[in-house]
Amino acid sequence: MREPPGLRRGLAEAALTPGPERVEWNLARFAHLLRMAGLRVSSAEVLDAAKALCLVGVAHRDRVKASLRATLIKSGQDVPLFERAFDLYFVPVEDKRARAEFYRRQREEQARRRRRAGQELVFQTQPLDLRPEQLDVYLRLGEEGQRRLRDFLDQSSSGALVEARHRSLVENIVRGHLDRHRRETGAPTGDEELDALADEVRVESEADPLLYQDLQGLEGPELDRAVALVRRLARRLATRISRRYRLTRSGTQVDFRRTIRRNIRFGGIPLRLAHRRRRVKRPRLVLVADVSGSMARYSRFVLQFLYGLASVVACIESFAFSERLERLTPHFARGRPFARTMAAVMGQSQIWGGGTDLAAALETLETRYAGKLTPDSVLVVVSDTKTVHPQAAAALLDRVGRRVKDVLWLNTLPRAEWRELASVRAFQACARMYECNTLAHLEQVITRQMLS
Amino acid sequence: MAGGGEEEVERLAYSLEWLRSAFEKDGYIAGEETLVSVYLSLRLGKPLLVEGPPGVGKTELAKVLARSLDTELIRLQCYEGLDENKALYEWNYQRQLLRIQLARTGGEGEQDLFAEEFLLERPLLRAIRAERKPVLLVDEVDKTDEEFEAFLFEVLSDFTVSVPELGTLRARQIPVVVLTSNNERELSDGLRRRCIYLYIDFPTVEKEVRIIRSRAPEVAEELGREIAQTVHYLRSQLEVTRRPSIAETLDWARALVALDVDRLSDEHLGRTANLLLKSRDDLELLRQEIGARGILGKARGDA
Repeated sequence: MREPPGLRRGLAEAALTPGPERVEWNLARFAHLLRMAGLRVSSAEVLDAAKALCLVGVAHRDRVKASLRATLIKSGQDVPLFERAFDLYFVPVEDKRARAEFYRRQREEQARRRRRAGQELVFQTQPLDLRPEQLDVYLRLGEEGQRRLRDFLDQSSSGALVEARHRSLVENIVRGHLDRHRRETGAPTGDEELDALADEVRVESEADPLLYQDLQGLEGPELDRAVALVRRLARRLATRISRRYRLTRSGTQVDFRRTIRRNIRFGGIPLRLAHRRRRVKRPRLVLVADVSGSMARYSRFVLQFLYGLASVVACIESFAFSERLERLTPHFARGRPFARTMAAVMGQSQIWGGGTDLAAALETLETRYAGKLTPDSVLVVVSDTKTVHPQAAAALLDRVGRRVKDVLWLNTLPRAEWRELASVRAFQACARMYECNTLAHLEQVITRQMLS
Repeated sequence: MAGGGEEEVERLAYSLEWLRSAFEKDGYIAGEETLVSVYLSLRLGKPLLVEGPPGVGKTELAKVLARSLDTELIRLQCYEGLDENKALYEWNYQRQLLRIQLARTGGEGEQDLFAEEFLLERPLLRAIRAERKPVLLVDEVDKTDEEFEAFLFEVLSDFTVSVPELGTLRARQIPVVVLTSNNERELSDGLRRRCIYLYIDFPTVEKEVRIIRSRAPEVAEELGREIAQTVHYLRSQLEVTRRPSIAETLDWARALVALDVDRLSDEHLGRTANLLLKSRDDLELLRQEIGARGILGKARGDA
């Protein structure tokens, strides 16, 4: 493709006269804003966008938007973020002036705060030598972080062995700390307008916070929303499962026996080739979910999830247990709506909300459903590990674990509490254990551990 | 000399306005975004990657584009297990064998078994070797596996194909490429980066009314609006597993005209819902909704 004639000249001019009125200048800044908001925009794409603007012109806002959207973003999920950033960045001239005024004032305010920060960060009453960006990072550390840094300076300023020449050492430590923090949180540009916009865009586009909440604490409408979210999650994952494990390559190997047989009618000349198909094994999942009293809130989601997966993928065996084990697979037959499935499960089952006896459940699994425990299956236990006879259960799990490919344990207790529980330690010895009490955990475990 | 190349540039120098009227003449109602993206893809010579839910007219876009440019549409339908043999070229093995047999019995001299006459052109090679700049539609590219995607990426980057027995085949002209995806699998960054991106969502009520009026002129204005509102409501408010496509909306509209309906009611909807929703669960859900609160009133209010 030839370069549009105006482009080179335009870019050259832009280089000579940088300023807010130039299209290229705005384009580059806008691209940077998108990057700060977390999109990956390469220079090649910015160049495409520039060419596009040369072709389409900048007279119509809609067209400018469409051109930038077509060239700068490459995925449907980035669309809302783009829309938001565009609306924030490309505003009418009056708004832009008002905004410039606002940012000027903010800049002054920032300078004041920086001076104050400079006075706070002292070594033996002498201010440290820090760059303005480093002071900005300090200001963004929050109350707690700032206090810790000040405490560190206080402690290292006093003491019998501290001398004035230690100053550069302390200075370096503080700088290093601030710089690391700056790298981790994404470096601001030092351009207040862009930084503020980036913050706004980021806030708007955060993923659904529901994903990160402990499921146990959800109430009312949030609960309904979470259920809908689980269903979507399951459907998305299910397409992925069925996709990944289907036959990917039609047979490339020639099957000689069948080829010869098929070609006898052509006098043995192999006109029609027969191919041997490679059989692909799908992983089988055997899910054992704890539905005892302590787990009641989670089981609902787990079941919802199982239902979603099982309705699309056929290779999942589901069991529920409290004091006893029950097979749920027949209830998850294809095509029945969730509410009815749940009614059927709950209506016929007597194990909901009971105590927990994993040992008994595993024993039933081993004796009655031994056929399901094959060397290519993965056993997944969903439970908070609070069971009677944990040692016996662990021994049994170890034995069952030898018959399957892998044992995963999704623990609904927060990881921080694991260390104090003997039962967790006992089960950790014979299963890979993952924390799983939010939807985000659930998704992560399923994609990373069960499907890979 | 103003050769074919010049002419080509001339032809593609069509303006945005020309594209708009060409699409409209064909009955394809496109928003500003779609038009600008298609236009940019033509002018910048980059593939157009179209994403969106099933049934919003992604494939149709390529067909309309081919008709507008008055050129051939070459379609490569992707599926799992699609490989180079089926996408690019294959040697006509049977014909080669026959030639060997003939040579043996007829005593003809040795002939080149890997000449062009034995080459079976598959869509990609056909697009590259076409006399006139064709529109190459790579449909549902997300259904292929990663290896094929990488291969496709390579072909779309330099438009040359090397056939070991024949040498390198270069494109006579770069085809207009349209890729569609339902987002079943994340496409690679490389492929995305090469493309102009277009996301098509389900149309607004206004736009769908225009689509209905343009594709099914026998539907009266009033009825068309009610149909669009109802379908919009079903798509946005009801938790159906498969949202009705635009084609289904049109089928439904035509069906209603055939049944002499001129004002839509819940009863009509109930009786003809199987044209819009095609699974038992969804239909049941709809019946419950009609029974509980009625849909039409709410759809009107919603719009």
